[in-house]
This record gives sequence, structure tokens and C-alpha cells, in this order.
Amino acid sequence: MRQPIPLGGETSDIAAKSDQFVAHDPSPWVRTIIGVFVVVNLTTIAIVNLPDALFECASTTISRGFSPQTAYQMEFGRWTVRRYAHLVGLDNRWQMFGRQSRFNWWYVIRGEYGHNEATRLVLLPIPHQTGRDFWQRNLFDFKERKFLLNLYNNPFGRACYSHYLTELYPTYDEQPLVRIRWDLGYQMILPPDQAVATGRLLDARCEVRPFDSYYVPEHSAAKASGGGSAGSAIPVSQRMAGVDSLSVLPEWTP
Amino acid sequence: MIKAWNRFWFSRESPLPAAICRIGLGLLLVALFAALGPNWHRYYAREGVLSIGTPHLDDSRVVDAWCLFVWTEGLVSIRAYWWVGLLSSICLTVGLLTRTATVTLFALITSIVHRNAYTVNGEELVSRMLLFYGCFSPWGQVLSVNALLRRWRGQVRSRRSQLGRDDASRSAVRERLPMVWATRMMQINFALIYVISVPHKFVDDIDWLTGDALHWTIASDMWWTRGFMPELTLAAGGLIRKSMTWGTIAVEALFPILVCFARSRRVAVASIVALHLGIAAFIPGVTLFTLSMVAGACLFLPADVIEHCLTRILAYDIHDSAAELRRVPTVPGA
Repeated sequence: MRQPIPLGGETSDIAAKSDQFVAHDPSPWVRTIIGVFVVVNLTTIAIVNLPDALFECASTTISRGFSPQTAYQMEFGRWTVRRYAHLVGLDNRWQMFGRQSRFNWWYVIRGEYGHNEATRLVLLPIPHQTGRDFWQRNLFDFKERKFLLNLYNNPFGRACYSHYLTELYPTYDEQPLVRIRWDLGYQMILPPDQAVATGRLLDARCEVRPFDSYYVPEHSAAKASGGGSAGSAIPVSQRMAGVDSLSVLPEWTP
Repeated sequence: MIKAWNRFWFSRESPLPAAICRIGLGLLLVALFAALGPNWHRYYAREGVLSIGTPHLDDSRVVDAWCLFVWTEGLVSIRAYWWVGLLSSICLTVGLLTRTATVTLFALITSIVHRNAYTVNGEELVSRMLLFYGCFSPWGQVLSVNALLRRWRGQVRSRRSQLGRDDASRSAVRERLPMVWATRMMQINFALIYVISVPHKFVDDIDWLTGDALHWTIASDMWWTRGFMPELTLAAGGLIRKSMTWGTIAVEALFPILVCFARSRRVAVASIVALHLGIAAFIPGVTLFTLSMVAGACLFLPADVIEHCLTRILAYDIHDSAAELRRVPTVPGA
């Protein structure tokens, strides 16, 4: 027979007030199952959020101090925990606003239509560029900034997005789309002391530089003259090295 | 030790804080799905921004198989999931079929996160965590349509009329107070967000230590209007900026500690809620994320404060099991 237990104590605001809270003890099996669940989840969160450096150090120690089989089993254990975390959504690494950006940036994403002399660069009507109404700009496009931020260091993601744009805007003035051209605009933020001294937050210069290119597959022959490749993007290291700025813009108006 | 463990995880407490969290989270998800509506297809459809299925683009780099959208490809339209998400969020808010709505939303938010990782923001991650534990939580037990329906059906009334006469009935009502373990898990995971993120701030950016971190935030156009209120960083030789930076760190770092003690809990909750509401008001780019943190902070609200607010301010009479139990005399021999 289950025994009633008094509740309360330091963990409960309500229960701390009175001892009349009485409830039946859950069965030992229920408590054990819940207890295991609790421990597994808390351990998972801890492991997922441990610094990578610690894991690298542990891996090195394990590979030196244990047999290959043991090392494999331990690595498999870590993989299992990470897999479980992924499946139940506990794989977040909580880093709220850790690193602050030292510059403002934006993309200029344009479609290049037509060949040779007839080539036209057209600013595409997409979020953060043109053709967006008030509600889109202020409400519905709320995820776009994060989306673009995550594409910054992800050439493959940019290629996927570019391909989407080629499907969306295949022609302009009856001219076929040849490539999606990405330019990166940026403006440095002045360091705190300099900002206080000058009374300004931002550097006077905005620069726009070539960032990426994605050729429509059927027009990939044109890539030889313009850089980039069909279905792939130029790596960040290549794109920024030794590229002169195309233009200097006084102000970017999204 | 075992006694303390049992008391911490298996005591029975008012579900009111969890219910307030549920309502907050539900409202947030309603806003999230409503705002996602026009771009839903663009972000999550096969032919959306990920261009899934394009011959020369390797799907495996963006497609995660742990996703409802993948499992039902060709069977259920992407738009149908948006409707399911919106309706489930409304159900979660009002407490109708709460458990079903919670599980559905957990599956849906997980699918969103796994479908398009490029668009994932803090609000989805915090919501997913709360929904995961919410699947086991009694957060629909009070302040819900289901609770109202129960009352209308006379179940509560009939039980109340038997109180004081029938020990068995009294015991039955008492057992309706839920075990606290699921809420505890939410609370601990929520507090861990700060425990984990504050050291990360110091490691990732030294300016959190020097007090200059918010200078970059104020000057940035990443999440808010660039240069809005520059005096926050420029005035008084940067003293306002430093105060705000260190104040943010102090509130976030002290929250997990102060919230453990009954005496300081109210101050801790009020501080963290004020911080996040301030961020939500001034930095529109992270409004939903920071409001999800407000919803999470509600888990720590003392039940008596919630009851006081609901009964005195809103003149709402809570006939939930916790309120009933408070009026029940001590069981002899308990």
C-alpha cells in the first residue's frame, strides 16, 4: 500500500507555507523511470554544452591512455548522446549574443540578364532589397536577417538560395538570366573610444565588393568570363583576396 | 539524500506557473506562425530557398531526415503544416487538448529547425526545449478551456461538495495536484541557458568584460535600426553603455543563483523579465526570442503571486485543484 507523504520544504513556495499538502507517493517504478529520464537529459545538456577544446583534450587523452576498442566505445558513447540530443531537441549550444559584430554588412543580390553588350544587372525584388511592402519589411521578413547571416559563411547555402532565385526570376525584359551575382557591402563600426571622441558610431566609408556568383546551369559556359561556377560558389577566401572595391556607396538604403 | 531527491522531483505543486508559461509560449507561437505565414513556403518547401532536389546541389548537406516534412513528402502539403501549427498554438494558448497540441507543436518546431537550419533563431530553440518538457508537464491542468469544461460538467463541483465528508474524495482531489518533475526540468534547463551563455560571452568577446559590448550592438544594424539612440554609447564618456553591459551580465549571471532561494526569487524573476522586455522593446530583430525567455521565466513565478494577480487584479476566481487544496484541512495522521 502506498503511503501518503507530506510535501513542502525549500523547493516549493506553496508547500513551504503549509504542511497540509499531502499526496500519494508515486510507485518506485515510476520514480525510477522518471529519475533515469531526468539524469539522462541533464547529462545530455551538460555534454552538448561542454567546450570543444575540452572534448579535443579528452579525445587525445583517451586515444593515448586506452586501447583503440575502448577509445572507440567512448567515442561512440559521445556520438550516442549527441544523437539523442539531436532527436529530442536538446542539442542547443546556448550562446546568447556572445560575439558582437564589428561592422555592418549587407548583400546586393542582382540578376545578370542577357549576354555580351545586352547584359543588364537587375536588383532582385527580394527581402532587404526592393519590392517589399510595409508589412513585409516590418513583420513578415523577420527571419530574413538571420537567414542571410547564416549564408555569410556558407557557400553551399548561397548556391541553394541562388538556384531558388534563378527559378523565381528566369527572365527580365525577355532576356534570360545568366547568373546571380552577390556583392557584399560593409561599413566598419568605430571602436568605443574613437566613437566617443568623434561623436560618430560608423566609419564614413561604405564599401561594396564582389562576394559570390552562381551561374544558371544552362549558361554555365559564360562562367569563364565572369568567375564562379554552375551550382557552386566562390570560397570566401578567394572572393575577398585582392579584389578591388567596385564602388563606394555613401549610404545603403535597403 | 533519497528523501531530498524525492522531495525535489516528486513533490506535488500548483501547476499555475507552468500554465502561465504555457499561455505565454502559446501566444508567442501564434505570433511566430502568423508572421511566418507569407514566407512559409519559401523557407520550408522543397522548391523554396533550399532548392531541395536540384540535381547538382547535394541534398544531404541541408536535408535532415528527422523531419515531418521529409516523411510526408508528396502526401501532405507544406501549407497544411502551417495551419496545423497555427491551430495547435491557439489550442496551447487556451488550453484545449493541451497535451496533443504540445506534442504536435514539438514535432512541428523540431521539423522546422531540421528542415531549414539557416533560418533558425533563438525562439524556435527555446520553444522546442519548453515544448519537449511540456509533453510531460501538467501545464494544461489549470487556466485552460479543458479546466473550464471540467467545471461546467460539474465534476469539480461534485467533488468539492464531498470535501470534508469523504476522505477518499479528498484524497482524489489532492492527487490532482501534479508532480513537479517536468516543471523542474523546464526550470533547470531554462536556468542553464544563463549558466552556459554567460561564460561564453566572456570567452567570445572581451568587451563583455570591459563594458563595451553594447557599443557594437547599438551601432549595429543587425537586429535594430542602425544608430538608433547613439547617445546610449556616446554620452557620459560611455558610462551609460558600460552600466548597461555590466548590468546585463549581472542580471543574467545572478538569475540562476537568486532564483533558487524563495526570498530572492521574485527579484530575480522581475529583473530577468524586465531585461528581456527591454530587449524586446528596443531590438526588434530578436523580439520573439527574448519574449520566449520571458515565457520561460514565468516558470519561476511563485504560485501565490499568480493567484493574487488573477483573483485581485483580474477578479478571476481560480477553482483549480491547488486553490481547492489550500482550503482543505490537514488530513489527520498525515
